[in-house]
Amino acid sequence: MKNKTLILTSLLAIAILLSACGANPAQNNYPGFRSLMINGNGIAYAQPDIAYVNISVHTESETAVTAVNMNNTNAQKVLKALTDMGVAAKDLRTTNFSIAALQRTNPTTGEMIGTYYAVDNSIIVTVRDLPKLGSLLDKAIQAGANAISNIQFDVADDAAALKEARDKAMQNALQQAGEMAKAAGFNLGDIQTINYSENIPVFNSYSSFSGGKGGGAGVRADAVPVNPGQLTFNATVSITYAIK
Amino acid sequence: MRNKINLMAALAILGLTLAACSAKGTSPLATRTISVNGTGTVYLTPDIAYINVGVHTENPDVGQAVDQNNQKSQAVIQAIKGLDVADKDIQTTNFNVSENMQNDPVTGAQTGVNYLVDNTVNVTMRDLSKLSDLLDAVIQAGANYINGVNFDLADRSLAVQQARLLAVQNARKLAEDLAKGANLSLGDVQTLSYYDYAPSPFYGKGGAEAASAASSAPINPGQMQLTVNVSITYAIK
Repeated sequence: MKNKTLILTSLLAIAILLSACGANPAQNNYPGFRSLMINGNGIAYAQPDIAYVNISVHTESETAVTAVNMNNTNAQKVLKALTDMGVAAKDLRTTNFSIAALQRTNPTTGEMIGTYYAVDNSIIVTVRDLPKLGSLLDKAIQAGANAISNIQFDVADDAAALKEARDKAMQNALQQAGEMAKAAGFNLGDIQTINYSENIPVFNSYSSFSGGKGGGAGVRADAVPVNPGQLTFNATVSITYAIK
Repeated sequence: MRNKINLMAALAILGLTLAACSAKGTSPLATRTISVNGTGTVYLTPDIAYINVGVHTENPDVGQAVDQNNQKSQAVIQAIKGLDVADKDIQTTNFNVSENMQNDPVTGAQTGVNYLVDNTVNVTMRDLSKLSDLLDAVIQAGANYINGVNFDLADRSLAVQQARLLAVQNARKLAEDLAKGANLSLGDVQTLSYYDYAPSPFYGKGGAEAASAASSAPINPGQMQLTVNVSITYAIK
């Protein structure tokens, strides 16, 4: 009888232990063991060395043919101005060529007074010689470009900046893990997982432009003042450690 | 005696359970891993262009508006075919007749009706050297609506292959770099997933060869870029 009680007690103990084993500590991504999750961040900055700019010629006339002819003459001049500035053919890309019929209305009476045609020829230019960007824009406008938009900056080789951001993120994660372990009074075990993500700058003229101070040193009066500012690269390293 | 054996067995099970439990505690994951995303980008020279070409006519008489449009549209199609564009590369995308009321701006009274007719085709031009000639020819023939010149590559398969290879190489480099930073070394690839490629923003910083620039309507294909992303999980050794 006493033995039977002992067996029952033992079985009960096993059951309790098994349930303890299966218990899931709150919010643990790896049930069954203790872990520490750390996110390390790293930021690096780079000086842009490339610009993209949209340059267009817009013409209007009573007939489609005249509007096209006027447009072609100016577009050819713009193209010549750009190639004379040393822009390679691969860095000139037509993004739009369009003819549209539009209604002209009398501004006082609102009466329709006829159809006219609007012709657009737009290119995106990749400028690899940034110091020349201002005078290039100036030359394009002189040659007949009458719409310029969406200046964006980029770095030709972003590998160095990304490497710097990544190394900083890793250092940051390792350091944080050490501090956390010390503060909470446990030892770090093996690294279980590393996840990595990085953020390459989205080209946006507004964030790329540095505000204020138009026309700093070295900007000539006959060039458009353009400030490339700097680009920001973000890296995140997420590490899961086992807790010893 | 028998009870004693039972007791021993029970204790043995208890011991094994505890062992299993603690084993799980010290070796938590079956595989320890590093996960990275790799990107591969290649720069390409486009070899096809798509253009929307149309004829727009207006007349107070709907029949005449359509007749005028038909005549000019036929002339435009002839001009396109004159540049060796195949039938399969000329597709009608829009034929539209609409009414446009004319009102007296002071009294608001209706003074007449104008009918607007549009006929638009999408042309695939496979000979980029003739692109400017095509634009000239259709405008001479009476086209008064053109929308966009979009460039593309007829066969992307080789470019995708190159971009994919680059993406995997870049992911590997990235993982090695991270492993080194944490004093670990890389084991086997555990999972690899591959995302579809997104062709061409209209510019790129790479170095494709460029097609020659143009004659009357200056049109420049420039270069396009093609990007492939892969996600790779490596085991940690």
